[in-house]
Amino acid sequence: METFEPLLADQPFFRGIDPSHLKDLAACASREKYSAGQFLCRAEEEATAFFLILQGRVSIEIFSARRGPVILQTMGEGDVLGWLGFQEKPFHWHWDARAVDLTRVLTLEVGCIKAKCEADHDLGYEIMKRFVQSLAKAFRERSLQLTDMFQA
Amino acid sequence: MIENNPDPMLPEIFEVKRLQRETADTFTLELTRPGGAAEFSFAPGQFNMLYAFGRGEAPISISGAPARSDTLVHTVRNVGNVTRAICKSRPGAKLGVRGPFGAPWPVAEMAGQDVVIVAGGLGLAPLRPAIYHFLEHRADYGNFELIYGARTPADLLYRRELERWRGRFDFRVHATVDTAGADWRGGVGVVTTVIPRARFDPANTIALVCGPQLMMRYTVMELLGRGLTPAQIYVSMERHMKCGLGLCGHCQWGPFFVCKDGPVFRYDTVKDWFERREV
Ligand SMILES: Cc1cc2nc3c(=O)[nH]c(=O)nc-3n(C[C@H](O)[C@H](O)[C@H](O)COP(=O)(O)OP(=O)(O)OC[C@H]3O[C@@H](n4cnc5c(N)ncnc54)[C@H](O)[C@@H]3O)c2cc1C
Ligand code: FES
Repeated sequence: METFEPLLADQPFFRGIDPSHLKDLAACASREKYSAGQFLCRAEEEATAFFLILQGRVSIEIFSARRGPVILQTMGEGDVLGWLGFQEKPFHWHWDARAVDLTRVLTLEVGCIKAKCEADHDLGYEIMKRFVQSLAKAFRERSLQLTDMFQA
Repeated sequence: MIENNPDPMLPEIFEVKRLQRETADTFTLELTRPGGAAEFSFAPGQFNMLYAFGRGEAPISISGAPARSDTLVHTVRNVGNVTRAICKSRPGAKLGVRGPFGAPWPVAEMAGQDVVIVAGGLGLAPLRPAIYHFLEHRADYGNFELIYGARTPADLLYRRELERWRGRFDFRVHATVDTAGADWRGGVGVVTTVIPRARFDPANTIALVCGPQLMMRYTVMELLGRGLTPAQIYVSMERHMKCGLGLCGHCQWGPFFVCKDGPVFRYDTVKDWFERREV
């Protein structure tokens, strides 16, 4: 059976994480493959996993009755798609994510990761730090997108 | 022999040979000397003052191939009085040309380096001659990445050419827009999001950046974050101009005259002015 530890250690999201945590994370990981056009997740569905993109491209879309699917962002190799819902209530996707090209991902099961983080707060802190960074980056990028730099 | 106009204050008459619509408000014009006289030599990144008779003059970058100097190519966005008149000219119309002016992209000095070009919107126009140069001398350079951002797919310049370039194996082209419908196959996200994925060796890379000021500021930040030093980044600046020759002071920016010291500047030389709000 494939062990995911080396693959996880290679991902920008987990870069520098203590190797002792990788075993826990690997227990929550699986590989998935999506062909072009297939959805990784759809709006309203419960978010039971988040994805680390190993290869390919994914578009994040919202559906508008008037305009059809509108692409908000595309993601690629090394990006993290989705986040841990640390709140008690189930978390639901707010948009669709569709593979643009053949896309390979590492899928991390949210329930499993949350349980590991509850059991080991050092791991929880490491994961939180990384999610905060990734959210801050997404926030910066979205603000620039809203600024309409080409008009300014 | 290649000969440019000997009197830089005197516009020389050129004729519009072809006009091509790029986007809703932007056109590419091909100009020739009437009678097809001697060629027009320029360096990538330089601009001409284009004179629309009865309207006035505007600085416009040269966007054609340096090696094809029998035709002078400009890409113009209709934003006001002069540019509207230029965009409305039809084949056979006459325009005045003074130039070429300004400091170019340092394409020859970049030999042996990886090349990263980051363009936003109309900023691809002054970079296109540099791209032609790198492609023509491809073996002299390392990895070559073009990151091009625009607001929507309809705002991208040179669509067909971009698609052709994307098909090459020795040149990676990343086109990204701020928003798009599902039929768009390129990236969606601001240009800065692509920089982390560009392939280059930070120790041996030169980056050329041109676009709206905000886009350039955040692009420079990302490039510095990837390990480039300010001396490895070049930016192209815009200011209102009159003479284009460093005489009138219209284009003054801090201690610089953009028409003469620029428009292309090495970032470390202008860093302090680039970040000031009031200039
Ligand atoms: C070195 C250099 C290279 C340039 N290269 C190109 C090019 O390749 N293609 C091109 O289309 N333009 C280019 N420009 C910009 C171009 O010179 C201006 O858009 C033009 O001078 C505007 O003149 P106008 O009479 O049409 O507009 P005006 O009637 O003077 O202005 C109309 C409106 O446009 C705004 N405006 C004026 N200048 C600019 C500007 N530079 N950028 C944004 N808005 C402006 C004004 O504030 C005003 O709101 C370049 C400028 C410089 C300094
Ligand atoms: S435009 Fe006259 S000095 Fe620059």
